[in-house]
Amino acid sequence: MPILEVKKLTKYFDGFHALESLDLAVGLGSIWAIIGPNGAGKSTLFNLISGLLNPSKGEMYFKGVKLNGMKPNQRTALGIALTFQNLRLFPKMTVLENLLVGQNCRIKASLGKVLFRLPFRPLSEEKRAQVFVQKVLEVVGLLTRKDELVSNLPYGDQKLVALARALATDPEIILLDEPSAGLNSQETSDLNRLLKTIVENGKTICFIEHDMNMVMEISDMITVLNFGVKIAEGPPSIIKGNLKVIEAYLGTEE
Amino acid sequence: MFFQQLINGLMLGSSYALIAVGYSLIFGVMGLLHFAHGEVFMVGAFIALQMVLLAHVSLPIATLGAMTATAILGIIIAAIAFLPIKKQYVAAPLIATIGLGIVMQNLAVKIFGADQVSFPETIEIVNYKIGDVIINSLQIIILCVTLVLMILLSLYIKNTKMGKAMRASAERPTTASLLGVNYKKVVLVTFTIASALAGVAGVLTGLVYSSISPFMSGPATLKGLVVMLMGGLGNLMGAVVCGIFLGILEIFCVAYLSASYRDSLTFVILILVLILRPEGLFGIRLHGH
Amino acid sequence: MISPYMESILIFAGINIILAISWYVPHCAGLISIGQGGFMAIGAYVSAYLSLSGIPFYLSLSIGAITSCVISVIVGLPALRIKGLYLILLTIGFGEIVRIFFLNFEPTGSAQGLGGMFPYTTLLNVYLTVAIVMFFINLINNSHFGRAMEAVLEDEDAAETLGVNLTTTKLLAFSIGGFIAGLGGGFYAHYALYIDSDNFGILRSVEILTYPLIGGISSLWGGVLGALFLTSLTEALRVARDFRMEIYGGIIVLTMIFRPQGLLGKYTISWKSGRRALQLFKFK
Repeated sequence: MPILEVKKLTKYFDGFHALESLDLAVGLGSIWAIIGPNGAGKSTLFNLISGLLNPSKGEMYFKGVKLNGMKPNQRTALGIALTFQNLRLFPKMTVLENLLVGQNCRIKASLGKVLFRLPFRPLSEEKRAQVFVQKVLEVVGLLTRKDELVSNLPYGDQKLVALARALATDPEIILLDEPSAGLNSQETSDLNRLLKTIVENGKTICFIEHDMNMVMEISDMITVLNFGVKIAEGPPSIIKGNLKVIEAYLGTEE
Repeated sequence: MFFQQLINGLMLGSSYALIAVGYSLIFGVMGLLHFAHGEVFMVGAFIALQMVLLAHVSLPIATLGAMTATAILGIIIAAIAFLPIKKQYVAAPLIATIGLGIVMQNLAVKIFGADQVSFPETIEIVNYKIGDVIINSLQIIILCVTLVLMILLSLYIKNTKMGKAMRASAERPTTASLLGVNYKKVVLVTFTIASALAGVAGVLTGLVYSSISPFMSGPATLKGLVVMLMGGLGNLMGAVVCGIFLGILEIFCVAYLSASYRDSLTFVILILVLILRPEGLFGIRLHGH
Repeated sequence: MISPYMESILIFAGINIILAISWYVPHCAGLISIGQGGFMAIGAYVSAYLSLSGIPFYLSLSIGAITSCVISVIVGLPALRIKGLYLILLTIGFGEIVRIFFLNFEPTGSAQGLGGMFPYTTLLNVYLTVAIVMFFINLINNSHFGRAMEAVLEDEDAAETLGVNLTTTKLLAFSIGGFIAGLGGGFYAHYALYIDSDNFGILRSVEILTYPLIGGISSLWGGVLGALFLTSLTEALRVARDFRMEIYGGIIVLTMIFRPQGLLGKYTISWKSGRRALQLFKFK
């Protein structure tokens, strides 16, 4: 069964068709790319899946569970995590704190437990969260910088924090919006390796990208959108030579 | 009886409308909730009163004097509580106007005394009878003045260069400044117009109710804000319509229910609007958000 | 040991500290309230009414605070959907509604107010409460609740997509603020020994706002220091007392122009701000 599925997903903004009757079924454990010229509806798709926007028509399913009507934090608890094109890190918090926020949906302790525990004995759930987050930091390579304010970090590291933050929610699928934007080729190949490691650990990755090299190198499947409509779908080898796709990109001002 | 109350409501409503239009103007162009507007209104009333009492001028001249004074006051307020404040703190100008309003009101109490005073009887009031309804010349003047001011305002905004600049700033502040609109000037003009209107409203209200006190600013601020919310923040037409509507509603409430519920009415409306339709009956017209 | 005059200033300062804290907690989650006077009123009236009916002080105080807390949840619910300026308006409206309510409510004396309470409030129980409240708030801030609130403060949408429940986080912050304000009201009622609805209107709420404005809005100690400073200032200076409101208004305007984050904003000591100050020095 596909881990994430959307059926006839449509979104209008004041008469503007951002997405038109999109069908998509992301396979479990795959690296799935969403590509297309600017304005094709890619970020809108992610906003709909995350719950920040409501669809005009259509349904979304995660592991068979219907997502429509669920609030974003409920979807995260189910296992959907995402990053933003403009990062949206919490500027006044450290790397560690940013990641720990991601663990909030996994800590069930009530206010009473927080207030009335024995002094200097942190909650067991809190300890567990800290341990998990440390592991994520290790995987991503940010452990040494965990106590720094995110606003002090170079851009490449900030992008890593965004990714790590999504990982900190212990998700099953991660939606990445232009993960390699602003990265140089070294950072991009590091990223590729990181993404492959994540998938090897059982996660699914769905990402929006403009860097065709990266897309061709790591994707298992590619969906191409243009003007809110899917115009092609298939493995990299097929999409590479697809005339419609080339037209879509060359026909617009890129 | 009904029509009589309607006329009374119209009177009250016009002064609400004048205040609310000033609020909407300021919010629409600058995104500011002006919490000291009620104090400007109150100062207008007092200036006119002082002019009549001390300088023995006629009421119309006193009103013009009040308008001028409040217009200047508006510029001062803009210079203190709006222009110097860095825009990234969204609530800062609002809080600054709250502070300024407090200063103004307390100074007014110290300068003018805390008692209620009223305009001396200088106008000859002639009563006109239309059917069952009595309307006097004062009321007619007030309605006419309000109407004229409204028309002048809308003509100004639609047709003059500054008016267009104000509308541009309301819709696209950055673009407007790129096209050469002097934002500072627009701000000052907006404050001037809004404050002058508030000054007139103060005089008119003082006449209608034969009472002026430093504490009239509080209800005026609150009611003006609620009217603006009800009509849609920044929406001039909404402010006028809802101002008149609230005035009529209040008078009917006093006539048919009880006077003590009058003030609660405002808050009930505030809560209802905030919960049910925060964008107001006619929609928000605001800048850039 | 301490003169009665000093003690009086310190007790009023302590009550204002409690109120400053009640403003701080909602602010942690991005909720700015200019209506804490209303919650203070509820705490004051309920606890006064109960203690006058013979109920022991600490029980009356607690029930007053709990009532305030419950009302704050009710007020907080619509507040969830509205943001920024609208929220401020809602809190102002709420404060005024409470004032008008008690102005007309017969059982608590309506316009004549309520008096005759026994002076249960002491230096000890006020400052003990301050210490306990600050301790608990620190516990909360250092827990996942605290991180959730800060995340909501900095970027609501991002926080939501990370799994933070906006509803519970905001309601929690707001209701804790209501509870603490209710405590402050209860202590006030049993020190001033007479209360009427004018004590708790929008001017009171604005006064409460000035404490963090002076001391620094982003830290718990900021409001505390601001409350101490302003209370002492206005009680001590006779001139200040006559022009008290003008001074408050002036402080507000000047703070907004020159240091909207609170006059002592950067310099107020708190564990977090200290750590961050070090951070700033690292990279500059």
